[in-house]
Amino acid sequence: MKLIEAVDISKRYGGLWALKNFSLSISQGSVFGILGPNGAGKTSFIRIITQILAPDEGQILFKGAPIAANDASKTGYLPEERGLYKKMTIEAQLIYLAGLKGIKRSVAKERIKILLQKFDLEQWRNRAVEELSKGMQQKVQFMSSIVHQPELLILDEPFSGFDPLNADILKNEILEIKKSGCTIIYSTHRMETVEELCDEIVLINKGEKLLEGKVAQIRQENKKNIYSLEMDGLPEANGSFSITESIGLDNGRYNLKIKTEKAPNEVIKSLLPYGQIHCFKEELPSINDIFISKIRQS
Amino acid sequence: MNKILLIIQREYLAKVRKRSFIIMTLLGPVFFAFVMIVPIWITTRSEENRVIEVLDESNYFLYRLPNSGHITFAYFNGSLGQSRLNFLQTDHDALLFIPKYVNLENPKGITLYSKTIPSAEIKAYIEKTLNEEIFKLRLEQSGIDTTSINRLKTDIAVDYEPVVEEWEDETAIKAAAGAGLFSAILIYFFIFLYGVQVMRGIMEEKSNRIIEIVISSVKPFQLMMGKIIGIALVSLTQFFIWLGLTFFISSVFSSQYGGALDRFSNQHIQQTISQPNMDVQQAIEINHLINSFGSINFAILILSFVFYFLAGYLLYSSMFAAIGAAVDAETDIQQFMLPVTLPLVTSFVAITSVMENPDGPLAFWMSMIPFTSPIIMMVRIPFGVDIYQIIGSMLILIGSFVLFTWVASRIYRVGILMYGKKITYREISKWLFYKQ
Repeated sequence: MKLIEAVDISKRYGGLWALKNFSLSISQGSVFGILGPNGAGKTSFIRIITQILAPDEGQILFKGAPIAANDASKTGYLPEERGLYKKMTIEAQLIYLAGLKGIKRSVAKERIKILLQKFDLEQWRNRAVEELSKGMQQKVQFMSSIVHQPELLILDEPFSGFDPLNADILKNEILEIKKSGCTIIYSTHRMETVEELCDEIVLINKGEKLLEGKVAQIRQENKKNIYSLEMDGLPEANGSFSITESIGLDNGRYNLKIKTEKAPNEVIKSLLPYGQIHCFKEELPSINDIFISKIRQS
Repeated sequence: MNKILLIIQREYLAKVRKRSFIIMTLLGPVFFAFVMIVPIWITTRSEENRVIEVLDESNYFLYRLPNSGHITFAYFNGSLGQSRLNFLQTDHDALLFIPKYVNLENPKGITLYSKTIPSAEIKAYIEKTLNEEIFKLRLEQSGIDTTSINRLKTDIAVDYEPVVEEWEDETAIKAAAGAGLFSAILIYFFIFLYGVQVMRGIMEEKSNRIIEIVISSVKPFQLMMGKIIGIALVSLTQFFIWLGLTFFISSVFSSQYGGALDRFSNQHIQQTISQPNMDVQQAIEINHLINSFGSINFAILILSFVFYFLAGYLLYSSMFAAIGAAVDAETDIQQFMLPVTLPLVTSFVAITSVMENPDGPLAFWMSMIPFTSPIIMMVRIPFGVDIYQIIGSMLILIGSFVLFTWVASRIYRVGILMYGKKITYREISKWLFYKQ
């Protein structure tokens, strides 16, 4: 089932297209990555889903029906540029933001208690935000986006500002939330986390969709027919493959990269006369490679 | 609706818990009480006993000059030189010398010697006393009975009484002007203070980057109105605390220094005017002023104040909100502040002219134009304004703040999401028509 469907969304700022006939669908319970360089239209799209902006054309469907004002309470949002009320205490702040999502004070208090324990901030509960370190503030911001237990969680560059240790805590928490059935939209240009977290991605540039689909499928579709292998002898390129890289190792073996249009079994067959094959692996392009090449092409 | 209430509550609590609010709320009445009390305190202070030595060689005035509450005449004999030497060794305030052959028709040579420049009050009192004594002496010399003259004087003072309720009475005009001026200044001050607070609050939310989190839960209009209403409640809280505390401090003061004011009460004034006393005219004037303040309908004044303050505040704070949303940095504020503050400052400057002619065309039009009416109408109301004019002015003001709140909300919803862009009036005018 699709949680979000964007149908022919267009948005213009003056003469500039932020989104142009943009369509996609996001499966319920998935982690959906929105990738694109700065100014691609990611934030505009997120603001349209969060109903901060309205599209000039097209519509957003939430569980099959046009998105409505009360769907905002089912959505959690962690913007890229984020902050908190500096003078308010953590607890008061989270109660307030949960209240704006329609959560009663008593319920919010219970949930905040659990979240503070989870993020190791319990002793800071009644401290003003300005007394917290930047990392702690980031945690509170993240808590504010999940305290009302949303069905849809939108994370715009959630890892920016986190140190590696806290980034790892956050990553695990995102996976945990996913397990609970929450759909997550993850917008970033940090590709290393995309393959780890996302089930599906869309790549956008200049307001237009460049590609969309499951991560594994996209990598497969964009493969360059490159194989890496380690073998005892150095083969000679023939009609069935060409060698793109060759490194001699200390133990007399060779690390090779070959390019071929043939099926893997056929290639292995033609390699066998040159020596023992210790390793043979198809090289799929990383999402990062695909990202760079698609953006350059567009 | 619940969300707006939450925003109002947050704004309200965040502001009233601020140290600056608590300090201002407590110090405000002290300041107002100070403004009211200091003149009275100075008056009582200046009433410490002054001794004027009198060397009257003519013997016309010997033991005839009347002492006032705090000015006493002490009579001495001897030469002028000796008296001056003696005077220098005392702590007396002045030495009054009246030469031997003073001509009552054209008195010359009367001199006041003083160690420092004599106060205007002492000088005026001596001149007035001598004038009256010379007048009496000349009446006696002409064979006219002075008691009849005194009785006549008393009658004149009593006749003065019935015109107190009329606006022709200058003291009543002073009281109305005072009440109007005070309300107008308070409105000017409140609109500025709290309008700017709305602007700064929005700028803070924008620069803190909390705004995007909040408007993913509520409509920008709800956030803007929540903030404006929350701060309006803060200002009303402050106003009523000020009112209460000012009343309390004044009550404590008048119970402590009751005597200072008591002599201007109606009861005392009757006793005062029945006595041939030099303070009579002054006491009557203060009594009139006190009575005239009593004649102002404070309930109407306070209700009009609350209306004009709230409506004026809503009009201006929506404009301040639009500025706060449009700008990124403090330095960008100035270009947008000027057109907003100009009508406010113009109203403030026009107060004096309006007080001089509260029914004139300037006063009328400025109390109809919504940007100036909150201040100007408050100046006029204590003088008495036609009810249709008040209703007209109120309706125009309500209509204007509805219109301006709508315009401001269009600017606000776009402005709060704009960062790092140089904002111009042209740019802002485009925002009004953005679909969002």
